[in-house]
Amino acid sequence: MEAQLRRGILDACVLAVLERGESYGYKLVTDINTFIEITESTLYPILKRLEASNMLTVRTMEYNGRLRKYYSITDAGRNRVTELLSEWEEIDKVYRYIIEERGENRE
Amino acid sequence: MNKEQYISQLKGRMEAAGITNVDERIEFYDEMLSDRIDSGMEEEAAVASMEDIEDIIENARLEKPVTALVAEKVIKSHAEAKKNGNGVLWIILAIIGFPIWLPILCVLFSLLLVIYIVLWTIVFTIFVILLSFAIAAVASFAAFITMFFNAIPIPIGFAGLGGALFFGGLTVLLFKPCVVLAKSIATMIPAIFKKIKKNVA
Repeated sequence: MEAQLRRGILDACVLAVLERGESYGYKLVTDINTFIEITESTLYPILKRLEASNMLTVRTMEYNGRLRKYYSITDAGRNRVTELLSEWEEIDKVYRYIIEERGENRE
Repeated sequence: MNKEQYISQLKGRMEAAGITNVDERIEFYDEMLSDRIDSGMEEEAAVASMEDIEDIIENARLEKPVTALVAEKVIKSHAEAKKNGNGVLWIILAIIGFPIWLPILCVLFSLLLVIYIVLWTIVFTIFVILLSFAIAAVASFAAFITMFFNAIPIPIGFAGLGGALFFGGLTVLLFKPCVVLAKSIATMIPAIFKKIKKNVA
């Protein structure tokens, strides 16, 4: 998959998972991995980028005698998911157009 | 490999590769490993299920800006060429490739120069405006004085006094905020260039 498109999709996936509620790194990886492959080294920059653009907030809490970071979506993050979904509708239209064009040209 | 070995190896490789925010990244991977273990995995199995260290380093390197990656590649290739005795060949290739890198370098340099000049121009303009107010105040006051020597009509002389008070007041009132603004722009300039340098490096 083209890197830019994949990046956008992964951003949306992280935000969509966080829309269900607060989560932490490992849970995010396992949740997202059920529908698209993601590794820790891919997730780390996404979380940093989303945090820098105020789309999510981070808080550290004690868990099992150690610290764990919890991520929550912000209003800006929710708006971004909506934006990405509307962008996807546009991409879907183009995709369908290409498929139709190819079909007609082959006939 | 146990958790401690994995983390220490990862940290060592990150430092060697010049990756930024190593401590924060290590905290992240440490948490990932601990969560695997807490979810019921054996320590060694948890480590084995982690991403390959070299893949992590490669992905972390890709987060860097393109300019930094290019600079890194150029330095590395130069060092390798020197080591292999191909230093001259490297220089020749750099010269042949100059139609590509020279315009890019010129554009970047011009852009930085323009930013630098614009920012200092703002500082300069602020003080020129302030100086013009002070001069207007002095000139208006001089006009008021000439009224006593019948050089100008009395209403114009008093208008001059009003102007002197107005411009003098503006100069006094605006002096401090202008100095603060100029100072903040002057401190902002090196900060901007430092940030650009950091991003390029």
